[in-house]
Amino acid sequence: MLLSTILQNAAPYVLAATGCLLADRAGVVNIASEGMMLFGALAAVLGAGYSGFGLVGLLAAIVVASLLAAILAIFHLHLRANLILAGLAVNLLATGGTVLVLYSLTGRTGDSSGIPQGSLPEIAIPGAEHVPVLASLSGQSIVVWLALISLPATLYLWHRTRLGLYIRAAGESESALVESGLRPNRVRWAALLLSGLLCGMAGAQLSLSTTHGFVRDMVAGRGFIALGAMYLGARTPVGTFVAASLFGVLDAVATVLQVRTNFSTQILLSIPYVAILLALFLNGQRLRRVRRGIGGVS
Amino acid sequence: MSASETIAVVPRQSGAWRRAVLRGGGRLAATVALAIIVIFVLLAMSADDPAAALGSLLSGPFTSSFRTGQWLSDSANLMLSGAAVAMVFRAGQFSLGAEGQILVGALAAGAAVLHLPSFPGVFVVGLTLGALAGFLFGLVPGLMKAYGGSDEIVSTLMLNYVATYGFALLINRYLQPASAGYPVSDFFDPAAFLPSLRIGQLTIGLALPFAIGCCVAVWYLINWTKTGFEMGAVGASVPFAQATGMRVRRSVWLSMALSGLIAGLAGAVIAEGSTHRLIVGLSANIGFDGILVALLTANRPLLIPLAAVAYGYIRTGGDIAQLSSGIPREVITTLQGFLILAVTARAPLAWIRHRAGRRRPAHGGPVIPGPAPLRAAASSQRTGS
Repeated sequence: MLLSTILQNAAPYVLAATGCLLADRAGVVNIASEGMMLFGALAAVLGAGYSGFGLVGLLAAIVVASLLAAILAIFHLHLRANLILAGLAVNLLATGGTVLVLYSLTGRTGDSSGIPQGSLPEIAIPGAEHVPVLASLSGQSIVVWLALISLPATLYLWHRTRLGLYIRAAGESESALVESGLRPNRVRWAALLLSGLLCGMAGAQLSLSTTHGFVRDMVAGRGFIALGAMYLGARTPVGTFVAASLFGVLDAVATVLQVRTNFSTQILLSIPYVAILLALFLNGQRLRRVRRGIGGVS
Repeated sequence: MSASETIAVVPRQSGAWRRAVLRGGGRLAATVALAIIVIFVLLAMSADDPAAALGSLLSGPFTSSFRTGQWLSDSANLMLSGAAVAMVFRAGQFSLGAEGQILVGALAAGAAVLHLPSFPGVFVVGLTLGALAGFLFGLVPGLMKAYGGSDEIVSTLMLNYVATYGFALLINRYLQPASAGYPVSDFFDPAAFLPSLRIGQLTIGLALPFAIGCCVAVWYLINWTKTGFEMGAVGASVPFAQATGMRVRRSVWLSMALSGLIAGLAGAVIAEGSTHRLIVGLSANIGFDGILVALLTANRPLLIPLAAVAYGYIRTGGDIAQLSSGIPREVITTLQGFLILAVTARAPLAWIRHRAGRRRPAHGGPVIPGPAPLRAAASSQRTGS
């Protein structure tokens, strides 16, 4: 029971953090993950609600989040807007835009209760009801499964494909990429679009499986936590996956504690942020030791 | 990563400066035009009668003297928030933490005036403590960056959430009267209200001159003091500042802490001048509005009052339109996103020319698109196209 709650809560973090990782390693920090998840969550509810198919909702979320990623790519890579500010702008577009879209469709600004509620298709393992771990896995939404696959998939991308190599090169040594006759911007486009796709899935999981329905600002910082999870995981696929899963565990534990005890909600909710701050600080210390002698603040 | 890459600081005493100001003016006009078009499109999407809604949004702040006062008070808050952001951006630090610092400042000011005995001028104590709290809350990411090398973008984003939850927690636990059904403190004693001046029907808070004064102070600090010069130099180029023996670390943490101080003041001013009590959601995103205000002026502190008054007009108009026409005030949040994109897109014209020019074969070789601005270091190694 707890394991299945953990899986449901961890999936959005894992997918969004993987998205942040791909973008970051290509040299584009994606702080718009928050907005991409939010708009993805709304698109998923609308797609699933109006078509009646959960998969359509998932597709809608992916398309909309990728569109936001494309806006970010156009403004940053071509129009030379500062990446962080453009990311911030995309987040604001999502915060405001989701409410406006909801309002123009249903006349409500708070939640999607006027829209028929769909849900993501679930994958069950036949005959797994009595096997301890498999029982929790069985019946999870397709996005949870995708989140589980995302780690091997990312590792494969990283170490076995050209795109993975190019993405890492774009972040670490742009000149090497240019000298091999490639365009760094194209690689960054690909990384940003992949990032949008993953954040869209994460959003769909939030509104169609972990909870049912869209509520304004429902992402509530999860995109930023995912970004932090990537730093906590030292910008590696495995580290990011583990860190993101930990935040999923924390979410699940917080939900349980909120229901069963009167432990302060606010303290529980702020734990991930404090953890990321600590990680940033410790990681900075580590880098400083490595760089000692090369000099100062960068 | 440094904010100075976004914001070209053109040296004065040159013809280039005048041209930059003219170009800036043209750009501002284009931005205003864009803003109105975007608002209209958004209203057409969401309102039954977009023209009437636009009218109520654009004329809103002048429909009553109460609303005019509200507009000016909101503008004062925006000025302080914008000054805090401009301060830190000019120093080349990419702090996005104004929102959290505002909350911490408001909390410190509010907690102080709620617990202190009432005496005339107690509001000054609140302002001082708010500023101090903001300073300390800005110092944390500053020291983390200066001595720990932690990326300030992520740390300030995280601290915003810590502040939001801490604010709600402390109100909930210690300041909420038993009778209140939602997280809110008692009203402050009137001695803790920011004094205001009544001119006929119009009430103008002390906040407005105070905020303008803060903008002037930031301008003075950046342009006329040694510390400010060091901050600007560090913002422009860390290696240069280091090579000339400037105190790089001090500049990093001090600029972020001073920005926090101004944001903390903004929080105290909002609590004592606008809401008159602590209430969850008190900052209402004004820290991020401050980023837009700073960007609209390309981080020139003396222009911030103008930008704040202009943007405050639209913000207040949005609130009024929500009351009168029922359109969600998220129209303004969305507009904010569009405006930040428009203001930060640095090279739309150059890009169009570049696209047009690419049809012709350029000197034989393949044309390599311009590098991302944040990768300036890498691009300097490029051999050019």
